[in-house]
Amino acid sequence: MALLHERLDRAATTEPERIAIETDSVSLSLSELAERAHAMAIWLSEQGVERGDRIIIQAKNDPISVVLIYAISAVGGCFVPVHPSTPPEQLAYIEGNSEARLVISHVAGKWIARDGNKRQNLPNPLEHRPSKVVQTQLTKFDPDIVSEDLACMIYTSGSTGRPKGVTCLHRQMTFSIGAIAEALDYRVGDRIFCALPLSFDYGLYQVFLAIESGASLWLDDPEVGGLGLFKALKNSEAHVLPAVPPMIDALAVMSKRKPSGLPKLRLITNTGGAPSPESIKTLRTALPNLGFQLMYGLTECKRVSITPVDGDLQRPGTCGKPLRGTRVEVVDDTGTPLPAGEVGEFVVYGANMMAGYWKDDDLTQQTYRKQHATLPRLHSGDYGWMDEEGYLYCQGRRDDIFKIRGFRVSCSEIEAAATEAPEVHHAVMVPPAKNRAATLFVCAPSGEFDLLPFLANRLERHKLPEKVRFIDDMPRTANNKYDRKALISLMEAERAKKTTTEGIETYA
Amino acid sequence: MLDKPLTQQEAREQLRKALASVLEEQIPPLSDEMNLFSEFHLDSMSMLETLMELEDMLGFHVDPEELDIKDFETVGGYSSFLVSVKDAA
Repeated sequence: MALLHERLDRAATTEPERIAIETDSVSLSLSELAERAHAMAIWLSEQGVERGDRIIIQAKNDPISVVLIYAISAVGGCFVPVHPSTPPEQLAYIEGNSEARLVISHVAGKWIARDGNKRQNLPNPLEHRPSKVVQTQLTKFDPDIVSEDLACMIYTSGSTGRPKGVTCLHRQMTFSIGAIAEALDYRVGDRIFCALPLSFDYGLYQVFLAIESGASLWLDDPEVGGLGLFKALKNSEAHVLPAVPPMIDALAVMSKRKPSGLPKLRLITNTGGAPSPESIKTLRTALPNLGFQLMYGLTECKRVSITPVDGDLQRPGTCGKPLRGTRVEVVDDTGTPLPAGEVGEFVVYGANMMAGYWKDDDLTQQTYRKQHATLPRLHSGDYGWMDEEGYLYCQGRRDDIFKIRGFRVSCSEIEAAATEAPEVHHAVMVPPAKNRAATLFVCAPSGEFDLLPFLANRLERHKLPEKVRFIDDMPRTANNKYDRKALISLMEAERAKKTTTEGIETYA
Repeated sequence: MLDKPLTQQEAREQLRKALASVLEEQIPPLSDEMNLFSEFHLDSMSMLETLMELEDMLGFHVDPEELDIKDFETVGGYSSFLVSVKDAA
């Protein structure tokens, strides 16, 4: 049986005293986590939660979120983690779409469970201390849960419309956890620093990976991400930092001032976009013991590929090899596999594929395309190529790629070239569209300068952006990725304003 | 660059200038109780950029180990931080 909470049971039986989850004020051992999840599972079933019920958690980075995840798993429910700052309208959509049985949130210092309009306080599982240590097996709570059952749903923003609930079964999640843990250099006794929101699958899986690897997870507020990152990391004495590119940029700025200032930090992993090679170089110089594992994935199959530690040094630009037991093919528009070195869409095949998009049959069929009506393969919408040894090189989302004068161009490629300029901290490319020039947005704290000659030295002529715009702050999504959509909206708003003004002038 | 110690009021004014430069917006006079996250939609990353701007303006260098996001939440806290680092510089 491959159940999410079974992995916790197993770890808690082997090493009950090992610390699983910590913050600067709380720490829970594996057995304490399992006991508290068990107590919470009892409470949930007293509230009428049954197998298959969806429960939304506004997942603050707090040990209680972790207790809830395992409690929901133990009663056979499906947890739906959403960002604590999810706007009410969006939350209402997710609640309706998932037909959630309960919405659990942290409001004004209290955890509240809402069932329709009925609200009640959650029992505080951290205050409740069992009088004596009881050996609790979460799997015994409901022995009828099977690995084909629903475990979790993660809402991700699709390229169009409303967010989609990527539906994850126990067996898919436990397979992914096992395969990722095998590829990552997380070691027994490591402390993993997690300032990624638990609503983001990258953050969420840190919980499972820590437990799987015999490491402890240090939960911190995602707000420390930039300014407070160095101090928080130092304070946690963490060995591993799972990061997204802006965190790597911020840490590079600070580590330059304090070389060797984070002696415990051994490993940074990255996903959610290619990190700036310049920032990685800075960090390698400032922190000589530090290694990098660059990765690529999408919520639809959690993780696709992982680079061995410092594998990017031999293969610049790689995002790693497919997970053990999975296969990636690079295919052309007709679905025909392409030879090594040729750019096409990544198609993923393996037990890491999730079940599809909740209640969206069309999109599920289109993304998890079946061959011969039976064999599903995940069409990632991401393009790139594979080398002779099977390493992947990701060029970005389908919408990262645009054609100009018949040439295929990747935003990521232009962005990577721009961030090689020492003045440039961040760069985001907005592809051209009707009435919209191909525009490169650049953050360069030292001020504006002519970037084009620099780019012209690195990119073919047809890849050069039509416009370069300097902005002071790159918009970011709730998950701290650079937000291309926000830049597109900005350009559209400017254009709408300009059209209106021009219209008035014409009639004046 | 200011070589004499900074007063709380001067620090507040320098912070206003730095915010105006980072956000490219007119920033109204600040008061100590203002929360920078909610008032100006700053996040931890743009806070870092503001701080780098202030380093250049005032000629100090922060120690990344001393940077605690809690010190920067309000205008008053941020200004006190500037006064103390400027004193130490």
